[in-house]
Amino acid sequence: MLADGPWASLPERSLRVLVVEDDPGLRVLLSRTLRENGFRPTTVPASREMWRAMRTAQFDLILLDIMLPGVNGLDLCRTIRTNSAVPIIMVSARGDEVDRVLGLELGADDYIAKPFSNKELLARIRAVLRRTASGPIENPAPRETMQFNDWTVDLRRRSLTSPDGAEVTLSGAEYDLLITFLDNAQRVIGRERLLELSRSRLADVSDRSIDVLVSRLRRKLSDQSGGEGLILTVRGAGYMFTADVERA
Amino acid sequence: MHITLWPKGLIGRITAVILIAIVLEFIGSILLHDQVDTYTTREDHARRVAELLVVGERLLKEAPPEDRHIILQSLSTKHLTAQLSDRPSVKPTTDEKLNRLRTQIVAWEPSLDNNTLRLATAAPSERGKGQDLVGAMQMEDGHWLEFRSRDLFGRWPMLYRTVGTAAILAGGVLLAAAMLVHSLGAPLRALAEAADNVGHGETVTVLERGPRDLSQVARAFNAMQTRISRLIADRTQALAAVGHDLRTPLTRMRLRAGFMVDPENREAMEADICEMETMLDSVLAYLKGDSDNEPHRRIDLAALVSTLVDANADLGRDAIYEGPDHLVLETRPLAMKRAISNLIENGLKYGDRVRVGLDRADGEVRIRVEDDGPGIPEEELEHVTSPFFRLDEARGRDTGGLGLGLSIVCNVVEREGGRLRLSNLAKGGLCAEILLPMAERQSTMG
Repeated sequence: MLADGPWASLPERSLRVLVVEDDPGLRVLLSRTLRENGFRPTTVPASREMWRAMRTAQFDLILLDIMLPGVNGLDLCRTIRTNSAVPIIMVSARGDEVDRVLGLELGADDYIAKPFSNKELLARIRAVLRRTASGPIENPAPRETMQFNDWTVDLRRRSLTSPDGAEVTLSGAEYDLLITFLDNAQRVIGRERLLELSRSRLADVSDRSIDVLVSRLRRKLSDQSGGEGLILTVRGAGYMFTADVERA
Repeated sequence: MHITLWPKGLIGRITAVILIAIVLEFIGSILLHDQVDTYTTREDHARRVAELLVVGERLLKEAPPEDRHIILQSLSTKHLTAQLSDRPSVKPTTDEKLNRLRTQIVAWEPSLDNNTLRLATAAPSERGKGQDLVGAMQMEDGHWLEFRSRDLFGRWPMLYRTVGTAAILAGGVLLAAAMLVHSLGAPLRALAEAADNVGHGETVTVLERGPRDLSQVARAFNAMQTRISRLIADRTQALAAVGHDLRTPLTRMRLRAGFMVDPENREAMEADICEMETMLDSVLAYLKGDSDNEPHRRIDLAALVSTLVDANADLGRDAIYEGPDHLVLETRPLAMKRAISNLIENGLKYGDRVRVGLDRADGEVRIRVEDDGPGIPEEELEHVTSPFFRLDEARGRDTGGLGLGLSIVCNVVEREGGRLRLSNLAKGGLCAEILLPMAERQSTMG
């Protein structure tokens, strides 16, 4: 009902979001939140209705609850992935890392845990849409790992493993930044572009600079053999990731 | 006195009972044996004496006088000697014991009944103990056939031998019994050990073996344990289900808060929801406790700690990480993350700034969280890790939360084989340290 409101001019205006959620109250609220922010939501309570909706319309994103009556969200995600690359965000009521990892391994693009706020939800949706808008075209083959100087990034689990086999914790923003560097290895990336790419993660924070983020990432990637050199500061231009990146 | 002698352990007591039983049986059998033995010995003597007298009389009667000493010599044995005399050296007696012996002798050889037979006891002829039996019988020719049976009434050597043998036997039996009882006690000890281990994580199963009643105890114990853990599991599951289910209405509230126009109300509402979420998370984390089956992984603890500190710094809080860039450790990353972030949040709740240190010393990894808050009264330090314990009233500061934060930290750390150490800083503020054991090879620091 607010489709022609102040958000009508956003590019997401025409984007269709399918919400699979068994809680009626939440369906209404999600629908309203999405509509007020310029999306075209369709809500369904369970798998049967979901398949019906997917036959009649083309969706740009699916918001999929894990705890559904009948077939659960994880199984649905796997089934959808067999013939569609539509972006999927899993929603879980269990603040459980297992759900997150499983969801991502089954091909979901992101994961959001209840109770989330509208800001958090919209930020995730926009980030996924931005990522997938260019992703599949540039890299049609599914990537699973990336390697540089004996470091490994597991794209499914979103994890970084050091040369001596230890898992290195990264914040969401640090991970996104690292992926941006890996995707643009040996190219200078401007601060503005990095800020733009990381905005969904940094949206709530005002006084954070990309430099702080880079320095944190540098510290985590440092090792005895001079890991500082991995991310070069290019004076007046931005940053450059220097190592060769292998994809697998 | 009897308390110190009476063994404390069941096995000891059973062994003591067996010991007493054996001693009693031993004494009893000695008494019994004594009589039987005396009787059979006398019987034997009576027979030999009877034979000597009958055979002696017959042979001596027919033999020429000059051969008599040869016959007497051949009749004599080591224990029984015979000789001839004209006048008896033995006086008639009325001794009851000797009369009984006489009756026994006559019972063997009824023909002797007609002869005059005198019996008496005498001091031993040679070195030795006890008494000898001497006797004389008048033969038809008027001579007296005398005999001396050595050590008839000396039963002690026999008794000593019996006692000795029985003692060795009793000792052996006691030893075997003690070993058997000890092995019977094994299931009992296993049960005690198992009972001691219950409640420290994994289910302890007692092998249902041993004697029937003990294996029944073991079975009952296992069943009881199963019931208890099922009971706890059911409750935990119910609580966890409620916790998870509450997330959906909480999400609705959050989304509704997003629609509120009045920013003041909206922020208050969001703060309330945030508090509820924190409580839910802490209850769920607490309930998860030991049932959490997160595997151990090699992680960079420095990266984990600094990420947690950075996240707080990004929210405008004064949190600093002071430590190495890398410290690799094998641990449960999610549990450890929960523990460390609880400590950081605690510090920021009671103080305004938090310093988080990480180092390695004496085979331990130390994560040190210091705040500048009021600290904890010394007498409360040991209580603050109990679940649902809150200091808030005492400190006059409403901080919310359920009082589970430090309990969760404690559980996580103890499960990793480490410990949580709380102390007040001299300059004010609390210092919470997580100390984790570390195998030298599994950790590297950079």
